[in-house]
Amino acid sequence: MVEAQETNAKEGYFASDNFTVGWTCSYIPEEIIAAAGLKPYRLVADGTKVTRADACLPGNFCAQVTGCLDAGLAGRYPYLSGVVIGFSCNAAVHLYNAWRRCITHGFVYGLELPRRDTPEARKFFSKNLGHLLLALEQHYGRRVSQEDLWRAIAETAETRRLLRHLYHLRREARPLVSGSEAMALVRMAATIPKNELNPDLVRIIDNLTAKKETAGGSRPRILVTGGILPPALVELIEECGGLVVCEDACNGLRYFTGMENTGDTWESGDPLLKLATAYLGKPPCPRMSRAAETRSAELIKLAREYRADGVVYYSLKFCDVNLYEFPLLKKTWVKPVSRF
Amino acid sequence: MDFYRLVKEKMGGDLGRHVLRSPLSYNILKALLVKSRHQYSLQAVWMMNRYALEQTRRAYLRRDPVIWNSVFFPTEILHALKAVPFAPEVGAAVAAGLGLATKFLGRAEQYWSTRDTCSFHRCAMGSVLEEYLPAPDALVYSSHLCDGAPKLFEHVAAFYKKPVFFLDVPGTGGDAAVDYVAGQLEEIAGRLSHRLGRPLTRDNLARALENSNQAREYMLKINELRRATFVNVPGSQALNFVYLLFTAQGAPETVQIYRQFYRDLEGLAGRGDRAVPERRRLLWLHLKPYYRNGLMEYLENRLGAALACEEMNHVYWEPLDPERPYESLARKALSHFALGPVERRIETLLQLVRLYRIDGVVHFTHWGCRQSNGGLRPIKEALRSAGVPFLSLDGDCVDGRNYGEGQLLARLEGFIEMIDAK
Ligand code: SF4
Ligand code: SF4
Repeated sequence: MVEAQETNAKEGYFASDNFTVGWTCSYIPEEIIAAAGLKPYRLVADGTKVTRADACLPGNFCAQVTGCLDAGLAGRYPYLSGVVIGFSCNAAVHLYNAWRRCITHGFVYGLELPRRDTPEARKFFSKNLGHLLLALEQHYGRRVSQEDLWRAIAETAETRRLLRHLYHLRREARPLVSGSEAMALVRMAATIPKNELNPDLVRIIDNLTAKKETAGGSRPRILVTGGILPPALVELIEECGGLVVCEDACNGLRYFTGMENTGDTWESGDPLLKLATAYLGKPPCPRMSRAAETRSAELIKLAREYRADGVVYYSLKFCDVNLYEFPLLKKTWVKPVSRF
Repeated sequence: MDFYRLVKEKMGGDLGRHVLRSPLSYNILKALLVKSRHQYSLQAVWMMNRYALEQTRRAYLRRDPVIWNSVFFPTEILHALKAVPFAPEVGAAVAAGLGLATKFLGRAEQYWSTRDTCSFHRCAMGSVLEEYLPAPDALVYSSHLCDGAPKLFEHVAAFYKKPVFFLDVPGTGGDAAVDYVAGQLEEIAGRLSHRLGRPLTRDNLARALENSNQAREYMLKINELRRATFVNVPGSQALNFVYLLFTAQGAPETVQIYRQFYRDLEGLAGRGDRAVPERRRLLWLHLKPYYRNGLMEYLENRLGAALACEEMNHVYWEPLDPERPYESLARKALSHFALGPVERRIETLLQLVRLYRIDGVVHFTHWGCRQSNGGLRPIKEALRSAGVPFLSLDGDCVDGRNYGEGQLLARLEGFIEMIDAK
């Protein structure tokens, strides 16, 4: 089922309309796109050899940026009517520059993403989210009500709740889902409209729990952490006999975790401020200021919760924020958990 | 006058940690510098070297708090606190000039093992690990224009176990961004003052902003002179003035140095002297190699191409308002032309091309700098549409291990031929 849905997504599940809007970074609240009646679709480089993007960007840019640009240039996103590119880092700003110049999809929006979580940063971010909403309304001729926003927020919160439940199952001694399957499910969650996906997710989880088929109980349990993860890495680890029990990545755990408490108070106050608060407050990606301090403690916790036997740190080549983070993280986690 | 040669000769060739860390060394160097004043064709350069030595001496002496800053952080606040700012990226450039960079780069690569990042940071990290640099009492860093700097600072703060203050500067956002940045600056200034036990009075801050404004006025006058027919300053020397931009905005000495620079140029212009034979006028983008090399020399003296303008020396910001210090410092940070969508930088470069009657543009493509290099393609296209030849010169500002001078000179020669053939 996971495979079938993933294939649907790849082969133009969205091609029948022109309301699909790509988004690039886990700090972009996709709820805003959904609230405008559009279909948010996460852009993640698919590992295809880059052949066109080199003409637009230097060769030493990360594969997430060059991969997405290359796919856009090669027409591998025929279903997109627009993109929201988050200013996650300087490379991402240049993706925005290159997209506007080299690819002619209609709506291209660069979203400023603060690098810290403070009340002022949340306020600033919520204002930016307001601008994004306005731009979507203007471009697509929509009028987005508060109810639309709350509905999108609730549907996305439900997806996240289901994913959290799924990941909890992976903490068991005999996990019911492998790393490759979990990544495919997260990918679906980030590309398929939530109202369509949620009932399927419920069924998938029910089936998994009913069948109780273990994904590989006695294999070494691996926690993978770092930046955006290529599914091929998880597959490789599992082909080599390991079992990936958690992907601490923005296309894994960090896509849905850490926003649970705000879910309870969604229905009151300013929805954009709530979104800003939830997104800036989630477990940080390395792009955030002083992320390593939080992340090293978080990693130790995750390793214990998921009973990991080993940790693999993955950084895309040329991703400064990840590359610089690695020695800081390594230093802190080597000591407290001696078997790593 | 070669400042680095003076340092190496007088320190006996062995630039060990103890020599470079001793305030006494800087006293000796300052005394020697006084004697060599007449050898400097530009007195402003002499003054800047003296100032740099004094600042370094103060940093090692540690009587005043030493605050490490990333190069785009507004240093006016640090000078208002009478602290000694120290930019590790500048330290990396100096290390390259002194021939120490390879040692530091190697050390950093053992630690974080990748050459895919900017060598300013790798070299700085290596010199931290080797304990060559003056230890900080606190660190301030900003997010804008450089993704590596914040991470370097987090490493350094962890190494020295010192407090670190982060300034998040967005690339877009209008007035909301001004409020966001101004609020952070005020908070950082207050916390620094408290932490260091140094009062930050309104008067001190206002004075630092006025110094900054005066220096800016002189920079504008200098640039006006440089726009005139004669190019009176070798571009390599003009590029060294980024030291002041990166560490000394707000310092009274910066006003004096720029005033002297203006007078130097006025004097040369009055006599009709040309420091550089000018046949073609170039605009130089980004920085230059800091290790020993003959690039600029060759370009200016052999190929007759003068660096008429460097984007780094462009005055892009409005005067600061001492009555509204944090707001105006925020506006200054946010007005950097390389921040946000690339059109801002393109517009600025086209303006510089017009103002300085530029014949060609050279971008020194420093390996590992995503912010500058990412804009190359649109910049090249915009310049081509404007009929301005453009050259991207691949290299590294700090890491000279793969420096192939012959190839770079050949590319420069070809470029100048192209300009001439136009
Ligand atoms: S944060 Fe890293 S992986 Fe993400 S876009 Fe920037 S350089 Fe690429
Ligand atoms: S060269 Fe670029 S990456 Fe390196 S310190 Fe400067 S801005 Fe940062």
